[in-house]
Amino acid sequence: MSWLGEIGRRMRFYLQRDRYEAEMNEEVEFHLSRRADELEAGGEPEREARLQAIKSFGNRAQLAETSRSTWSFGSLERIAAEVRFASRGFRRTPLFAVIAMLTLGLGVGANTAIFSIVDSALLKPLPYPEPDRLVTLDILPGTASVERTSRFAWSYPKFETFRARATSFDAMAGIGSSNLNLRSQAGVERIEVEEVSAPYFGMLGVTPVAGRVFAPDEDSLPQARPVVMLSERLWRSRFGSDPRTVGSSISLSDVPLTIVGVVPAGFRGLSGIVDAWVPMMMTPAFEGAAILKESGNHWFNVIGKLKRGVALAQAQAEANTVGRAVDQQFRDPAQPEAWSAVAAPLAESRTDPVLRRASVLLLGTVGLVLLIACVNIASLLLVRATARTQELSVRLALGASRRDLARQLLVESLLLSVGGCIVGVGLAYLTHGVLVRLVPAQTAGPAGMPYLLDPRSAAFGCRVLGFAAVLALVTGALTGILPMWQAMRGGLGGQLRDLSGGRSAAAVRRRGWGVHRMLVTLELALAVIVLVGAGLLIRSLVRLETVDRGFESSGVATFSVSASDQDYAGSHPVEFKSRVLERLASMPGIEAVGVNLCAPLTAGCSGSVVTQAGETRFKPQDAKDPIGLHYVSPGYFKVLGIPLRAGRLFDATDRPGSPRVVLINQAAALRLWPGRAPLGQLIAIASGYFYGGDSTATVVGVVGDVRYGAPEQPAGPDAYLPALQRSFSRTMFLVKTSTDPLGRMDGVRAVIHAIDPGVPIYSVRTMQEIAATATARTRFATVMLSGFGALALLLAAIGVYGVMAYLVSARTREIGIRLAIGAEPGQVRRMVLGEGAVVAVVGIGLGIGGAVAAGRLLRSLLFEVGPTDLGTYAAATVTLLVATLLANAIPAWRAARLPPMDVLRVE
Amino acid sequence: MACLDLLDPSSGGFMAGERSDLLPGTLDLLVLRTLAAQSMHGYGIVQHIARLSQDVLRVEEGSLYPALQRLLLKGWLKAEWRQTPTNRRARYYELTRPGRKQLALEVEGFETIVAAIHRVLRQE
Repeated sequence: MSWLGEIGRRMRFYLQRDRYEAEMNEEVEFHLSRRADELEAGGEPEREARLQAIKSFGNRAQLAETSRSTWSFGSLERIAAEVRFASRGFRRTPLFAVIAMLTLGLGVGANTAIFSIVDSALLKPLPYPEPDRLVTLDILPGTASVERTSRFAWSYPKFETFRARATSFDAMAGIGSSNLNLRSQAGVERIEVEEVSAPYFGMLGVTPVAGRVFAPDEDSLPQARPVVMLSERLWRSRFGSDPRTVGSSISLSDVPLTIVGVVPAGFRGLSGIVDAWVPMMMTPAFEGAAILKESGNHWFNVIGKLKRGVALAQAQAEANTVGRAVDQQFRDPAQPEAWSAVAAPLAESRTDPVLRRASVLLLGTVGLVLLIACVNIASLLLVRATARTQELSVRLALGASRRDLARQLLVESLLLSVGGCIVGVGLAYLTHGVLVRLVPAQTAGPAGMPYLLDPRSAAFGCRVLGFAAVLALVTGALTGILPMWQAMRGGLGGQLRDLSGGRSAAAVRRRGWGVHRMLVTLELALAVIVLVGAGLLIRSLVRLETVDRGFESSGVATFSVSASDQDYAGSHPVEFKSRVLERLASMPGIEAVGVNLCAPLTAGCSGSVVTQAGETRFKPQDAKDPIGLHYVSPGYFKVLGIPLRAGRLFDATDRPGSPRVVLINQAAALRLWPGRAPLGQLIAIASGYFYGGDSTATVVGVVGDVRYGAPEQPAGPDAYLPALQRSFSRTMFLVKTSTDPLGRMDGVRAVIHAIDPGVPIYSVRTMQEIAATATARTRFATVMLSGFGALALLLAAIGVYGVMAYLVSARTREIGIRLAIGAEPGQVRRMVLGEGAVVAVVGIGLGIGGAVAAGRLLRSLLFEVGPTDLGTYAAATVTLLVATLLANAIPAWRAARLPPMDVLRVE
Repeated sequence: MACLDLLDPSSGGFMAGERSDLLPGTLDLLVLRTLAAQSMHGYGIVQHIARLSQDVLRVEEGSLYPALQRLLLKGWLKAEWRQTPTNRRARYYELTRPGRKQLALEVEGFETIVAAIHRVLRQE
């Protein structure tokens, strides 16, 4: 690497340049004296010899210069000089530099902060080896659509058949997830467990830190090998990272398991919260033997690794045909349409698509904010350059080329942008923690597949800093280009005759006004777009928060309880449930108590095909849009304030052994018995969900609709079954209190543990927290966009003020004359305000056009508000108009108060 | 060949002896060749070239020292302060291994050009 050596030698020279120059001098001196000696020897007198030697040697200064330029870094050093010059200039006008850097810092900071989220939501590769070869496989009901929302998880028989027939994949792994009780002296802990196929760890590139991963034979026969792998967290907290843990045994929900390995810290399963893994073949130990045999029980997700060289399209085609064949084999005769399977890149499951859209939207918005900041700085720099006409003219006259001037101006704007970038990175770093906490938690994706990357764990790392560095260059170029262009084409400088300043006002009017007005117009237009976006989101958030969800959330706390797993099939859970309900109902401060398996707004309820009894064929919509099933106690409706529309609610007589009864909501009544009275009708629930296995029941009442899915989704059809007629080990309790809902939790815990000290109580949340989580994505986008909207408004107002103030000051003389020859102050004020108003109207008009175009991108995030909502546009317009008028008012007021004589005397 | 080339520090320049048109780049070649025989100081190089060329080639000092610096920078020479036989301090230049390689290349290139010029001159 000879050029490397050359750079090294240059560096050495640069660092010791004084020594080198001294040596050069000594060398030349030596040369001269030898020459003089020689001439003297030839007979010249000493003095003459010396002079002649010097003469024949030539220009020593030039020699020094030439050798210096040979050694130096040339253009680099010139740039350093320019930077020194520019920073001297900024030190002379510190206020300008500080304002410019703060403005850019706000813009860059917002972009950098948002980028860290966008990076983890969209850009960063998945943390698995060869992520391009990993796909998710889902069951696709019907043929019509491949929408992600209507996908199903797998049943074990279907998965087994599919795996045996598909040839595009190196490996496939099923991944189920559940909560299990980890019991020890410290009490019962509820931990997240994944039931996985043996290839799972290899596909995701997990090598254990202790022990080994599952062997293939541990995943081939049901319950043959009771083994478990632990997370590093659990290994550390429960076993003190003792290597002898491997080989010992733990008990999960009363099933003893041998620990075979520990996965590294940082790997917590697909959902990011898993603490233990068991082979899929061990699932029957927890869920009952039927779970691996029922082809209609769809309970786990599947990922596959494509064979090398197999294209995604090829795998998708195969998934479709093999999926269809599998469906043929396990077809429910009542099912109206053929089902198939669908393969999609694992990367699609990286983050919630709504969050992805929101983060892109935010990045676009902060991009606009940065653009506004750049426009601000560009116009400030232009003003500054115009004010420096004199200096630039002198430099031109002294021999600087226009290129030199342009380069100097570019260096100045780059310096500002680098400074702004440092400020911005600092701001972004300081706000990173807060921002990341604002990002909503993600729920599971289609078919229950968890999202793989959590933007709340986004790091402030090298990628973010790199992005900020790129921004610094871009903003430097954006802000510098206009003054540079002006300098190149002669708009600045070359006006020595104007040194008195007498003509500069006219010059400003002629040249600068057009550019300045253009910049302010652009800035206002950008601000309108951001404000309209923020306004639309605010309105839809308000709609979303106030839409009728069909229940009352105030004062309600929810928590889950898991009764002893051993008694899963017995009657104990029902006994336990009714005793807890009884005791809690009599607790002081508790107004009502009820149970269900899922809470409203969580999209966590299961559904089933529900029909009129006696129907043998399902309608297509039955399968696509199943009716939600809720196992509730009589008090449930009182806790949530769900109104009874007809018939009766459940009561204490609806117990095991009594007639099977069901309540339906209005949507279900409309679906099943349109135009007829549903009371007294017989209903059939496809999967035999009643205690004892019978699947028909009598409708005894109709209740109001409740939004169990996303709050944006209208309520679907639901059926309520008496919780005491069906046994579940897990149940969610809902408690309505007159005061602080969580304040009663200690008493509630005591009551439950008095009945059974061994049951874990977990997922304690208020209904209001659940509702807040459900609207978190919209609220996140709204809060962020509103903040950026305010920033855009502020920057635009500052920009308008800056330019207007400058224009007025440049026209001081003209205004003075107007006043002197009799203009009223009011007229001057109106003149200045009028000019500002023209700019504002044009800018806002353009901005409205832009907002209409950009509004389409927003549509998927809006709720019951159109992207061209008139009220929002009106509000944004008025806000900006007021802001520009205010920004204009100060210069206008100042202009009108100019004492005419002083102004004229300035000349 | 334009005379301006001779003023360009990178092409090396000569005081006119009897001829003013010399091939550019030959200064480096001559310096490298001179130092291949033995290490020398700058003044010595001038004298050596003048003596061997019988005063036809006279190296201009204003070009010699920048050229020496350039060759140092390339890593073809190294410099060392030593005592002259007359007991004075002078900077002696010496050829490095890459410098030797470079010399071979430049001699080859020069001979190719000279041969080519010869062929052009001997036409008719």
